[in-house]
Parts: sequence; C-alpha cells; structure tokens
Amino acid sequence: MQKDFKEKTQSVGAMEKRRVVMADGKRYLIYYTFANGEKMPDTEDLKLPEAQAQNSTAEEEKINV
Amino acid sequence: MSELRWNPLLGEWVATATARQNRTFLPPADFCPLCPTKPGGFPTEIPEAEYDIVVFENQFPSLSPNPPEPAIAGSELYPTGKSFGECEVLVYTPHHDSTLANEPVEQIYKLVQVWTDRFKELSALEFVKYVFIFENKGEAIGVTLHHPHGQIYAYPFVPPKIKQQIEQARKYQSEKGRNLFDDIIAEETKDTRRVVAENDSFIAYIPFFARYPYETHITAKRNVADLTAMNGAEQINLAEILKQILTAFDKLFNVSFPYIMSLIEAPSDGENYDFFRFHIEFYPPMRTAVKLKYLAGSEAGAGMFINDTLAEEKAAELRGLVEEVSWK
Repeated sequence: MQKDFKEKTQSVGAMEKRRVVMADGKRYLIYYTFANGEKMPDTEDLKLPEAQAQNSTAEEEKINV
Repeated sequence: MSELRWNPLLGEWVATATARQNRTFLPPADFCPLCPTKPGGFPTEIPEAEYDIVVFENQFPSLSPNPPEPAIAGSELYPTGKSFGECEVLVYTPHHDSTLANEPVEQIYKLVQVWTDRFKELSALEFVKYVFIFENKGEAIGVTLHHPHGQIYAYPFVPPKIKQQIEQARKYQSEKGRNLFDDIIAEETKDTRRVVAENDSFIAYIPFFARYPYETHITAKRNVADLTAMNGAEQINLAEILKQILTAFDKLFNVSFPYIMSLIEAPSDGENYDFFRFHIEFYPPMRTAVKLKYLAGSEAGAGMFINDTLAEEKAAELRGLVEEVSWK
C-alpha cells in the first residue's frame, strides 16, 4: 500500500546541515544529513535553529583552520 | 584569471575562467575527487563519509565571492567586470557508480530539500541576482567527473536565456491577462499527446516547440516562482516526477541517459515575478540509440534549432516507460 504524504516525509526525516572549512582553508563544505525517521520532522522547519547552526559553524571553523 | 567581458553584439556578459582549463578530467574511480576520502587514501574534496548529500565551493569556479581584478583593462566598447558570484558543487550520494536516476526517490526528495536550502541561502547574498541549479550528465555533454553531482551558479545578473523567458512571460501576462504557464499546461492537458507524466503538483511533457528530440519540461501546476515557495507536498511530488522521468530516460535505449538538467526559477533581485513559474528543462543530446544531436550551423550560428523528430511521437515513447514510484 502506498505511503501517504506524512509517512513519506517521516521516512526521510529532518534535514540537518553542518558547515566546515575545507582543507585549503578557504572554501566551505556543507554536510547534509537526514534523520531517516529517527526524528519526527516538522515540515515547516527542516533545519537547525539559526543560533545553533551559527554556533556549530563557529566550532567547526575553529577546529579546521 | 577570471573576469566578465561584455559582448556588444549580443548585449551580454561572457565569463573567462582560465583556471578551468586544467580542472580534473575523467579521473579513474580510485582518484575521484568527489568520493569520500578513504582511510589511508589520497585526500579528496570530501573528508568524511557519513552524509546524505554534500555541497562545497567549486575548486575551479567561473564566479566567486572575492574575484580578482580583470586580467585585461576594458574599454568603452568592451567593458570588463569582476566575476562576482558563487559556484557550488552538489554531490548527490557517496556512491561513485550511482546516478540520480538510480537513486531511490527518498534520496531525490532529500536533494529537493538541499536545492531549496541552497537557493534560499545563495539568493540572500547581496551580489547575487540569479541562482541557477543544474546538472551536466554524461561524456556526451562534456562532463569531466562521473561521480553523480550537480552544480549551482549564483550570478550577479539575470542570465540572457532566463531574461528572455521572463520577458516573454511578462509580455504574455500583460497582453492577454493570463499566465503563460497556465495556458501551456491547459493546452498540453487538453491535447495529451505530449504529456509524459503528471501528478497533483507537476506535469512533465515534451514541449510543442521542443528543440531536442527528448527535451522534457517539468512545470509546477501552482503558480510558484521558485523552490522556496513550494509546500511539503509539492517537494515530494517533485521528487516523484523526477524519479519517473529520469528512470524513463534510462530505459529509452537501456543506457545511462546523458542530459543537461536546468532548474528555471525567478530571479533573486527583489523584483516581482508573479507571472513566472518554476520549471525544469531537460536537454538530452541523444536522438537515437547511436546518434547525437549536435548544435551546428543553424543552432549555434543563427540561434534557430532544427528538430528532426516530432514531439508527439517522442512523448509517446517516453510515456510508455514511466512507472509508478515506490517508497521504501
């Protein structure tokens, strides 16, 4: 039986992104991962809250520079 | 060297990017820069393997946020400009030998969400006026890396072909009082011969005016101008119709079908584009199992395409290969 819209969305899960600085120290790279059903996604909010994303970026950049 | 040079004959910019002459060209799988770096292996662009989709700035960009000064001084007739913009590479999957057509619909749905996120982020950059998401697939198109991937070019101006479509749509709305894309969808729905696939949110068809034998458009039924205007159901329906079309392409001649895929959306310059419509255009070069369509004199020289086939016949071939999409 075909999945409905909500089941399809939940089977993929919420989108998360993690931004890092590449080995050349200049370019950025963003890893996109999906929870694959482990989290219940809110279809209106498929990414990390802005403040959390910015903190995550700052930490990654500090590590990789 | 990287710069914009003005073409006074056509009234458009050309970008020079000499660093691209030496970019990686068809490396063996063991040396693919888009594969995740293996333990003890040579370092690729992607250090980690745990991801669904990766996006990074192109190592050989045509446009960049901090471009150099033009290599040559311009003149009144030939102005030059700094090649502002952004060029990103989107790696669809960690798996080197896959293609977007071979990926499950779940992965394509993830890609739609990544496209949307990239479009939103790049559109917000002050120097970006147009975000162009595309894929070059196959050696016949000129692809230099086989690992499944697409690209995004964020331009500092609206590029010429998009500008032409926008002006046509604006003129149509102004003169007829109706949306051009609504009328195209109505005509294709009434005629049916060129429709390849359809769902609640999108219709895929070979256009009446197709320039390539299997040129296929996927157009949004609701008046959405770009990815960010889509709702959740439309994102899912886009993933499903893409899976259907890409799979049908591969079945045509039982080969991994080469194509250029272009996402055509409204500009990011802050103007009103409520007369324009999100749609995808595919330009596949194959006209038979063994023959390619080349852009020769009439196309490249005069801008007039000659199509050796009938859209209605080619649409019937594709339509017969479309299958229902299954989610895991």
